[in-house]
Amino acid sequence: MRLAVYTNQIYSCLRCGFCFDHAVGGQEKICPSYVTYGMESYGARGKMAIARALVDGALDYDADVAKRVYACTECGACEEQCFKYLSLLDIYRAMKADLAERELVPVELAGVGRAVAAAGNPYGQARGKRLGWAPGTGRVGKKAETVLFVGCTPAYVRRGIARGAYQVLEAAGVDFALLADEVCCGHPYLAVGDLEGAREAADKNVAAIEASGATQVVFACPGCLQMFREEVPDLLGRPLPFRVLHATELLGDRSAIGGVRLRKQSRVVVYHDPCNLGRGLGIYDAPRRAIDAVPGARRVEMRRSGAGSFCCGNGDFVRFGYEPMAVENEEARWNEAVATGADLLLSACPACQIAFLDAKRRAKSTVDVLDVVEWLATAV
Amino acid sequence: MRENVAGALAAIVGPEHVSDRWVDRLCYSRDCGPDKAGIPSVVVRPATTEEVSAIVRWANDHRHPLYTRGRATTFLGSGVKDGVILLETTRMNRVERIDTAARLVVAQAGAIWHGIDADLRRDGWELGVPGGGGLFSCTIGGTVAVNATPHGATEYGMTGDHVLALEVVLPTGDVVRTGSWANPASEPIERNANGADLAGPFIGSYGVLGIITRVVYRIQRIPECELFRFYAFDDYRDAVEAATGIQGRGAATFLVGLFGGPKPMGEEGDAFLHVVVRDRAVAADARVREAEAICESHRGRPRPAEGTRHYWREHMYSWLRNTAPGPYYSDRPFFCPEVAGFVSSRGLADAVALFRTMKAEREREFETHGIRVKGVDAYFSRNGAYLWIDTLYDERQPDAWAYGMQLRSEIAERMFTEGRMSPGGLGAGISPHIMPKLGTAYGLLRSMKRMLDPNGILNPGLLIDEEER
Repeated sequence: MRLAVYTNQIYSCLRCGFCFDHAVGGQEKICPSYVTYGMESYGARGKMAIARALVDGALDYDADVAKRVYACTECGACEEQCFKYLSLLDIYRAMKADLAERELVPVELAGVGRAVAAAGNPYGQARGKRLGWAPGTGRVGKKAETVLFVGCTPAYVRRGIARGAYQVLEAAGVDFALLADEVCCGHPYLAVGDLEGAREAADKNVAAIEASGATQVVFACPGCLQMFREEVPDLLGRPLPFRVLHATELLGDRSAIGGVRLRKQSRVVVYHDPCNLGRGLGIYDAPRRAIDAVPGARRVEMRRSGAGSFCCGNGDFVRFGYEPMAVENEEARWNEAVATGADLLLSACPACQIAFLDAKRRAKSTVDVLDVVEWLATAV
Repeated sequence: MRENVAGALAAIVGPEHVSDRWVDRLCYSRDCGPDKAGIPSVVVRPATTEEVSAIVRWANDHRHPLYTRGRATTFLGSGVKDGVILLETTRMNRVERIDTAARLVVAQAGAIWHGIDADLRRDGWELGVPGGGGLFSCTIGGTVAVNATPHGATEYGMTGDHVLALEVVLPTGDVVRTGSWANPASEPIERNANGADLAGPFIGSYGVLGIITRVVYRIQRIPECELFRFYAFDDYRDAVEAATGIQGRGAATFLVGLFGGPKPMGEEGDAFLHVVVRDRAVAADARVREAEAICESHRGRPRPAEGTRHYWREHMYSWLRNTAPGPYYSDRPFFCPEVAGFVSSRGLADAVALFRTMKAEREREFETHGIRVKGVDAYFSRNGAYLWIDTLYDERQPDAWAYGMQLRSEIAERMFTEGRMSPGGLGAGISPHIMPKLGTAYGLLRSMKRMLDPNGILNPGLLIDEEER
């Protein structure tokens, strides 16, 4: 049982309940899964009680356990609040890996893993269409200092993000390439607990990047970035031979990109911290600096932002198996954004963007939804 | 049978708020303390007083035991037994009314204490005991039901002192409102209206007499000034004397004494005193100077008070010992069989001496079982001290757990007799050691239980031994 590695931490859970609410911040619950399903077993304290029962032999993995463990966006809000500073996400992943080994992955989520295995992306789209969004083929497979790692969702579903990142890097004069044989970063494999699948995906991508000669890799998708920065070195057992960073980290607070001043954008902008980028990687300021660099933009904050931000409810592919949870939480977050009076909601994650577009459609709202790099591209 | 229970409860609250799945039920067993507890047969999460009433009525009609819990953050054992209905109140979390003119807040029982305080702080107000006596994410209903000893107790008193009115579901399912709230034409502004203080029996009685569903609580403006001092003493008796002097002069809002356990980081001494003063600026300045003079007249040495300030603002225990929460708490599988209670300020020195003797007598046993002393600390109340003796055992070691439990019993027995201590917090862990010592007072509580709960359905076995009931 992989979970047994964490026995010490599991026994350390004090059951304080910080993981349910912002104990000193208000009544609002911080865990999307607990918000929707209510029973403690869907929150972190409950999952730790389940983990304790599993390592003590008082409970076996079964479909009930799987249903609760996979109803987690891995937003990290529980870990951020944890009184005992426990590595809760690692513990959830160990449980997922155990469940996957026992073939207990909920059927809808298991389909995600199978799609990645078959097509190299979780959407089951043809490999040949992965670069269909690109303005040309000149940058594909070329030698360059920088690689733009596109990611599956920008490549197939939210192509504006892929194009935005491409345009901004081009305008900034960055010498960059696109990988001809980029495959899924492996994040969906981890989401379902398939460590071997994740390792294979990491191996393929790292080999392709090494072959390109790049010294740095830029990401527009924070899930892919987190995968490379946090997981791939562990999966492959060696440090990455290149630097990885988010597009907004590369751009910083330049008010001019490629020598051209950014165009004025008279917008009231609210930024949603994606969980992977914020709590996951600690990148809170870079996207804000990039937004603030655009003349005319007035940035406002939601009640919950930064490390205390609330998840859009769609992380870790939960939409595939837990749609009511995704919908309830994306609407809650959407309402927080709209309450700021902003006319433009920016995020830096394609999954968040999909969630907010869904909420916008249902609300019939005029508030625009874009990714930071998409928006920057309009100002170049 | 279990299906019938779940089905009946689902008809009241909706099936999504009831579970009899093992994987759900096992999460509603133990609390933050060391006591092992039973597994309920069904978990039910009502949202309204009417739903609580219907659930209790059903349980009473069917003689089915029922335990109530908010966030279950007590260290003292909520005593859940196998096969009971577990009623959890956290869906009842609305802050229904903040009335600054009447200086009160009305909240459902499951509202998170710190969350209510956060709502109030936005407008410059705070609960009558800010920060709460309960820990972590405790609910207001739970905090009142156990009458937790709060931060600020030296000036503000106990949690229960600021309750203006309660709404309670009785074991029959009837709903009662107390104080001026009993009169439907009136407002919940005065606890002592309409005769006997009916809120009192429900405060601190751990839900054995009724389930609190709404709390009306006093609020106050946040004082304009907060000042912090920290003193080290080379003899704990000097620290006790200093604290008693400060109490007598009303010079502090909050006094916390450290009389055992690890010394605060970077400090030397036998005992330590944290001093918090909250008031208007001029008054705070005068009070803190008085506290300084008293400490120094008892040979106290002023030390940097950053830890004091952090403790007051963040409510993190580690700051009492000048340590940030991260390094203090992380990755330590230790649990605390706490013994705590009230002693007079002057009796505190004797109680501290008693524990020091007990510890010295057990040095080898402590070593064998890896027992640590986390703290022998006191919140000074208005006229006494709430002393808590925290030992720690390693949760991974069954022998250490067994010894920790035995140690708690021994400490409790001696503290409640030789130490002249009366527990503030009871719970399943402590009540067997104190209740039989209370004579007619215990008899009165049993009589009240029999009268209000003739079928013994609410939190059976907690505070009152089931056989004695």
